[in-house]
Amino acid sequence: MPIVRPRLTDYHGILLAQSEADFAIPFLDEDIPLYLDPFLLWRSPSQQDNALHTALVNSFNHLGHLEKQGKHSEATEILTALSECDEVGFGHSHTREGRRIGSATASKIVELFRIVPEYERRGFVHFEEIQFFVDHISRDRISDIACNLLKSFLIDYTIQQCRLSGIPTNEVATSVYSYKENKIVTERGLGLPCDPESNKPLVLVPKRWLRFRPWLDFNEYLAEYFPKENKVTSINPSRVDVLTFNRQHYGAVREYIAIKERSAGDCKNDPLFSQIPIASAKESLKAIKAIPTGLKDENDVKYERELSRLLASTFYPQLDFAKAQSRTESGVLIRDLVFYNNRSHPFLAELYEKYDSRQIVMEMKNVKELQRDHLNQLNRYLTEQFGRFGIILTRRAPATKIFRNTIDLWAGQRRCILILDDYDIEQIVTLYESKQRDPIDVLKKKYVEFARACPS
Amino acid sequence: MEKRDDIAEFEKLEQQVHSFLADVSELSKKRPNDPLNKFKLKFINTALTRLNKILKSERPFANFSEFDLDDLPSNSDVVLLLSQYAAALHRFRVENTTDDGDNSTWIVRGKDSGIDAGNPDDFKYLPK
Repeated sequence: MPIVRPRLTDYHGILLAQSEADFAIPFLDEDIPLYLDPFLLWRSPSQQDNALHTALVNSFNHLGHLEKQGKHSEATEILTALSECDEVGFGHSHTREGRRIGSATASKIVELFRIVPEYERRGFVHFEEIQFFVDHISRDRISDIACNLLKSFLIDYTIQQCRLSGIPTNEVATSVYSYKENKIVTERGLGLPCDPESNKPLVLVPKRWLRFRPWLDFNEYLAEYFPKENKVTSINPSRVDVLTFNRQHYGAVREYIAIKERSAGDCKNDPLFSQIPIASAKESLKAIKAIPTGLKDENDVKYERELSRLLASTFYPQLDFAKAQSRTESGVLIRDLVFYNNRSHPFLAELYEKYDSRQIVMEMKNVKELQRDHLNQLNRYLTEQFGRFGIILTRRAPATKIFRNTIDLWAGQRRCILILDDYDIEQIVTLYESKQRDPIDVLKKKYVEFARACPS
Repeated sequence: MEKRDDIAEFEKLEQQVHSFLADVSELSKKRPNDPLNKFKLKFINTALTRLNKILKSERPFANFSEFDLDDLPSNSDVVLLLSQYAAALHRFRVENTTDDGDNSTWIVRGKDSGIDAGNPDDFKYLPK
């Protein structure tokens, strides 16, 4: 049974909410929109993380050692191989396959060990500084190089986490940077989880190392710390001008790094999902209530946008939001919200057992009155991939005959379709705000009302 | 009153209902539509279930025995029902005590038990 935006755990039917996992649960067909920031390892209170950062930087500085020994091509070769790490899948690519850097870029990075006297003498302390000197180095590249240099540890971590969560593994071979030999070697017989389609191995990364923007960030440096009143570059220098300036004026970069190191206490990992604040939830509700029904002026799109944002937050952490998706059926555009059912709540476990609900689909209908056709559309959809449970979100309470229809569907086919209107959304926001009960209790309440109306 | 033991139980529960009502009324003044949390509801339900056994047909509503956690009762819902209970408790006290002009005593199975009940009006719930 195909599922929407599959995650590794859902594919194997493992009950694990992202909020409870220590690692970022990988998506199978796209990347996690966060990056490994080496600075988080450096500032971590954990000795293990600090030691890993030292190993990481030592490995990177070994490239400088090679360069100084005249083994330039060996160094660029290693760096090119390190520049992409498909196993972890971070970034915004939808294919999970990235491209390596070219030999010219690799050459420029390795040359830093000769051009910048500081690096020539003592090497890097934060290797992500390369982004201040070389073009085409962005956060995903830094993250990939770091992942590759730490891969040996990450593999052990993955094996351990898979054992804890019961994620199935296969014996695979993958390339690993050897800290002892300072080169990339192929390791065989590793028990790693694999992408079920491509059979490529996957490596898990602790959540605590992930950030959306690296702590040392070129854009931030350029906007706030780059000395604009210098005599070398113009007032609005191009990226290349800045990179060239930095190469010749290492002091500017050093100062930025020193400031960022001093404020390291503020450097925190970014959550994989952050809820909207209560004030925004109330604003969202107000906006939803003000939207007129119908398709005019793209009101349906506005309704969908506000509602997805609101519900993704209010149902967290019991339901992890998967995706807002669109489909067309007989010329009508239908918008859905899809949530992963982690069975993290007794009510959700019941939905899974009774209705095979692996993902919960919510269909949004910005209509004045819900029609039988709308029920049928969702009902047809339920057979395909979502089990036999679905929710329709609409503006007004349905007519009695429509509610009777949902009961008949249960009586005839044991399917459950709940209908939530603006009043229920309001109650969800009230619960989100008051924190006296979980907003998901509103779903349960609707379900209990539905179950009471069903013939026994 | 059916048993002498019920007297102490009734008096205890009566005070509990009064203090629940006072507390939830405070919450309800500020946020009437917020649901009451499960923790509070469980204790209120325990008191109501035990009272129902004593009140029997004197219950305020025949089709209400306790709050359903799944129904998400709001603060004002709970105040409404607890007020009804407070009134029913007062009525029950008046009907189950006898006043010989000197002091008031409890009636158990139709007979004067001799157990002091106090003036029923002193046990009426008074909103703050």
